[in-house]
Amino acid sequence: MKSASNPTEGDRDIRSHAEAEFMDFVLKTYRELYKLESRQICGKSSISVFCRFDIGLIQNEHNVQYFVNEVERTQTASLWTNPLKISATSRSRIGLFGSTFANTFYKWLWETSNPGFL
Amino acid sequence: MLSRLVYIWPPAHHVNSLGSKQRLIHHLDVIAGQTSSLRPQSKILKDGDPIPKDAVIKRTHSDCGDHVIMPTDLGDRNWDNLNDNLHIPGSVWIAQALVPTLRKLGEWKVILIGGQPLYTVHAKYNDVKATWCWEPVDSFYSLDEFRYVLKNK
Repeated sequence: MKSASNPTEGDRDIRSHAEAEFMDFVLKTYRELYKLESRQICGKSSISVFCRFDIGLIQNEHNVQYFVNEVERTQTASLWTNPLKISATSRSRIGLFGSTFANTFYKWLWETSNPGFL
Repeated sequence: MLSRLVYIWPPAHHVNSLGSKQRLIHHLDVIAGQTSSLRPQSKILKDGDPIPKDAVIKRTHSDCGDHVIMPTDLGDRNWDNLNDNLHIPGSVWIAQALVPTLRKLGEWKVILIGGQPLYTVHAKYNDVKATWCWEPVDSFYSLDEFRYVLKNK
């Protein structure tokens, strides 16, 4: 294993299972965190618009699991979009981010400025 | 004050309360407890407390990797330095158990918009170049594969 990401071996089922395992952890944790935070402020947590989860691996003598190392949520969060010139697979995703964020942010702004409307 | 006149995202009170690492760590510990998942142990440090040698020291009310002191940053691990960097009201220092796999294997940075993952980047700190190297993630290893690799390293 040269890198911990983008394996070049393994069949489609293994890779699908691995991606589902990772995303399942991210989404389950996100949903629970959103619930806890929203309950605390009696409103919608701002992570429902944008956030960045930093996921690491943690191990004890019996197991290896994913864990959330950090959650970034402000305008200063790095988006990690600048592609490295040396990496052939790198490509900027800033356009994808910008368009998707604009739609979600507009929805948040509309809901915030029109409370009570669905 | 400004938030009475214009809409600000994220709302300042969200950042000051929910965005505090202390609250975030508590919430993540609660979630891990519900799912019997592993988490690095964290402890709030009070002025004068012994600073654990092997722990990462993080300050609340900070982001982007600022105010993170690694075990190797020996010159910064003293209370004169920690107290000099408590200028944000309510901020505290937290000792978090070092997770060696973060340096060995890096971490996955998942951008979520509207509660849905948009893209993932894998980033690993390069000790030789003293900077981060990263690449967009298209495919993942399974936890079983990581278990095998870490067990046989």
